[in-house]
Amino acid sequence: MKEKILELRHLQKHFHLSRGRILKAVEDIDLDIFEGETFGLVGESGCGKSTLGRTIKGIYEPTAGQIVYQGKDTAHMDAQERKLYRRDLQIIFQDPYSSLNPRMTVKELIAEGLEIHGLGTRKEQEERVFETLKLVGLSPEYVTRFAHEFSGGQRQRLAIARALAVRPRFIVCDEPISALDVSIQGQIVNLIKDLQRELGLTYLFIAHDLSMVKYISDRVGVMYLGRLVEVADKAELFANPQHPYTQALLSSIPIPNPNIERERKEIPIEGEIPSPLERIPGCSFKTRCPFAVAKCDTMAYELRDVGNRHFVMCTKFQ
Amino acid sequence: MSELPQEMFIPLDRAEKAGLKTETETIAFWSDVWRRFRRNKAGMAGVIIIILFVLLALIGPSLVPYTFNKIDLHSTYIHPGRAHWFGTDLLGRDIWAQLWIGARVSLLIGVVSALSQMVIGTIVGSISGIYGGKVDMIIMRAVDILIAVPFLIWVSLFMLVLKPGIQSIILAFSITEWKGMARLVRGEVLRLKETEYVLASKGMGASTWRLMTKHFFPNLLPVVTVSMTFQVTSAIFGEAFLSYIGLGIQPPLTSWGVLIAAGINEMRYYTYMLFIPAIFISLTMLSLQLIGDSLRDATDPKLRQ
Amino acid sequence: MPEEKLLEVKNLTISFHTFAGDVSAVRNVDFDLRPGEVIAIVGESGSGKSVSTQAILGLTPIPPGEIKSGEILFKGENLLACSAKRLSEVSGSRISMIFQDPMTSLNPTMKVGNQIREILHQHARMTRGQSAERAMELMNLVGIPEPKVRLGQYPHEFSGGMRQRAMIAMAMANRPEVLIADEPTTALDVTIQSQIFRLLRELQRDFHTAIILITHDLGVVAGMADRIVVMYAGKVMEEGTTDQVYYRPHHPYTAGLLQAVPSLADDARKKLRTIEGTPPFLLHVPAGCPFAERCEYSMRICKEKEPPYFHPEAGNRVFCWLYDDGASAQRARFDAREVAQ
Repeated sequence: MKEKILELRHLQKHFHLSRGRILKAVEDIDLDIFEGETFGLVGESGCGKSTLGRTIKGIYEPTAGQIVYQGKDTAHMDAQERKLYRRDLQIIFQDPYSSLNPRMTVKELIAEGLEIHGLGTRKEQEERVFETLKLVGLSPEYVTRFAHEFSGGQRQRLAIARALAVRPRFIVCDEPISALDVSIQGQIVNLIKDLQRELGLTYLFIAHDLSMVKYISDRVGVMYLGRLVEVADKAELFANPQHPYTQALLSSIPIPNPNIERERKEIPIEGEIPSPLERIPGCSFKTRCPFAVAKCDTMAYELRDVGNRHFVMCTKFQ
Repeated sequence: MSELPQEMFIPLDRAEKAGLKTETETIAFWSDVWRRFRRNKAGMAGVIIIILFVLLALIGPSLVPYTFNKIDLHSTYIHPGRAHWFGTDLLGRDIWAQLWIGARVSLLIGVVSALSQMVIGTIVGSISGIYGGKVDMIIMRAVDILIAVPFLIWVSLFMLVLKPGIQSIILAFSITEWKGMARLVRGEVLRLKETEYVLASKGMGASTWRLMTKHFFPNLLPVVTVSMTFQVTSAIFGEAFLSYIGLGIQPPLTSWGVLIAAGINEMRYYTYMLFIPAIFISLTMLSLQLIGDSLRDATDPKLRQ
Repeated sequence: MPEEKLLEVKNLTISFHTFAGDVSAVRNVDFDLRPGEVIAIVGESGSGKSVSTQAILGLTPIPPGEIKSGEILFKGENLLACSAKRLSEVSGSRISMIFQDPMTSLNPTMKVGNQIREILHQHARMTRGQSAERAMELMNLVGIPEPKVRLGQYPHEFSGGMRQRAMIAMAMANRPEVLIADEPTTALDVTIQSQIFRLLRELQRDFHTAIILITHDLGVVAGMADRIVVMYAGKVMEEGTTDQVYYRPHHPYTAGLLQAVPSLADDARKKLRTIEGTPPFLLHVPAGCPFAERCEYSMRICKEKEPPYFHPEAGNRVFCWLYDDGASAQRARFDAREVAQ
């Protein structure tokens, strides 16, 4: 059995907005991520998946709950451990155009992590930059260029290189391919997969493209309005979705195959995704759920084990 | 059967395909800015005028045989002509010489004031933007209060206390006019703070110092440079005003403000004494504005092709 | 019997003048549309798909753009040559367009109801009472709940999906014969996306509106289009019926795209085969086929000369040297490629 590298316990992130409103982006998340796996996190707008990724990375401070890294609670880490956490856990963002400083050369961009953590001498850092560039499939002669001289796919490779330079163990990939062309998406995803094998990385892969998530993940979690509503191994989730939202989500995805498309029966969900500012009691999906019943108003916020390492938060199982 | 020779259908190997790749030429940021700036005729005209004036400020006085403060009571109030290109004033001093010596003073005050305003404004604005919260609030409220009082009143008060002279004027301007720059910088820093590359750096553990020097300052430069050109304009004007009300440059030193002050007195009979410095100061300010506008357009990322 | 063509784009070539040079965004592009038909123009960034369709309604920014050649015939009338007045008569009433980001295409300072009514008044004589009624009908048509309330609201009070519905309402207001939808759902969540496409399919069925769907999403296209035009680097690479393009792609780019897109229906172990390289910058127009540098099957001639359009199948055309008789060996390699089903 693999080691748990990251554990989230009752993790919560709320944003306090003007006029006393609270944006409850992430509510009470319990999740374990195992070393070497790729955990796919999916959901639509307002579900909090990006916020979750950033909170784990440390860009946001959790409002409540714990992040436990290799058995140590991040809130109780001393400065040294905290620094190590910042190094071991990296993030890649969605937009390759805004995630790289336009005034820095490729070398400066990639070496930044090394400089901040004081890793290696000048020469060693330079070598590490070259090595990392090669790892992501870019030529070392690019070191003096600026980010804006590259295409979207290449910039994303640069972003990956920046994360890799410090040789992390865990990478949060926040929609890393959504902004790229179709033919390039596959390149980046394959690169990410290959790097995992070569370097023994663990990924939290956040995306809204379920087909891509299916391709790359080992386990998948579905989020809706700040909560994890279903978690299972990849094959199990896609073959046997239990939560009504997951079912509807999967059925809405068009398949690039005309015969299948013609026959595809969608489970239509009407209505809009409610605003994350308003929280209603009970299950937040009940307003759109075709199976909603009175019990849903008092649903317990727990993921129930339905067998086969499959967990669902739904009154169906309570 | 194909009309084309069979050898055309031989597959390409990797090397041959690679030769087809076309990449755009690498364009560094500032050379792109220069290229865009060049296209703007108004801006270029402004640059030419300023360069011309600076040159004249340097060599102008030596083009005539008179020193700017040589009093010649036999040649008072001469209209512009062969002997005195811009005429003379009530004490027979050559106005051309005075104009260009005055230019040195005015331009010096303008540039140095603007530079120090930039430094102070950038530091204050950055601190406000980066730390946010209470610090930001305190600083911004202070700025609001300072802004409520017109700049010229502040400066006049200062000058009443300090002894009028180039250094004190520069000091006065620097202390009172950094507010606009601070606000501007603060706004930019707030925006930059949210960009993903700054978040990435912070997440990596970058210190505030590092963020300021590597991420904020280089990206602030375009905005700050544009703003500076406007600061120079307003400093030059400010000096003129001070000198006009007598709190600025004192004779025997001269400046454009001094010349205008003198000119206004003589406006009725010797209009050239007003017109000449007025035209030059106006042209300078106009040119700086044009340069500023043009620079702003040239650095605007949205207008990039 | 061949039906009358509703819209014909012929030999369209559009360039943009930039600081770095001329960018040939669209090069000798043809495609056409029959009444009631749905065609999809599929391509990635730089393919020219948006630029080509923007030219239909005269939306190409000129300068820096320049339409170097071509005709766009709407029922025989050349829209590129007609007067501005005529073009504004056609836009919004005979031919309508909806865009990717409804937030920027809707006027944020005007109530939604008024924007719809403005379009109605522009193209038909009606009283204010009549247009108010029509606006209500349209809101119902596109499925916006509580239409009375919504008509009085501003765009920012609408969610993304609703805004797109409002755009569709405006586009359909005058029962156009052609609807051009430029990436209408790219910015929307997948559950909302499927709602919007359901709506478009209904409208197309009920009003027999022909639709030009521009997208990069091959999944969405499979369920909706009758014919597909695949563009790359400003040229049409392949055109054919939906079934043919998906099941028997003739162009290596089309085949590559299909393989690079993961599908929920895929076996989990299938490896994603990608197209290496990146789309070209169109500053330097390549002498031959623009896809040659990324193509697994390119040959010497591909680098030097542009291929003509071949017709390996009825109703299909393909821009590729593989279909010349001299390329039979490479062609065989292409046909024998591993195709995951």
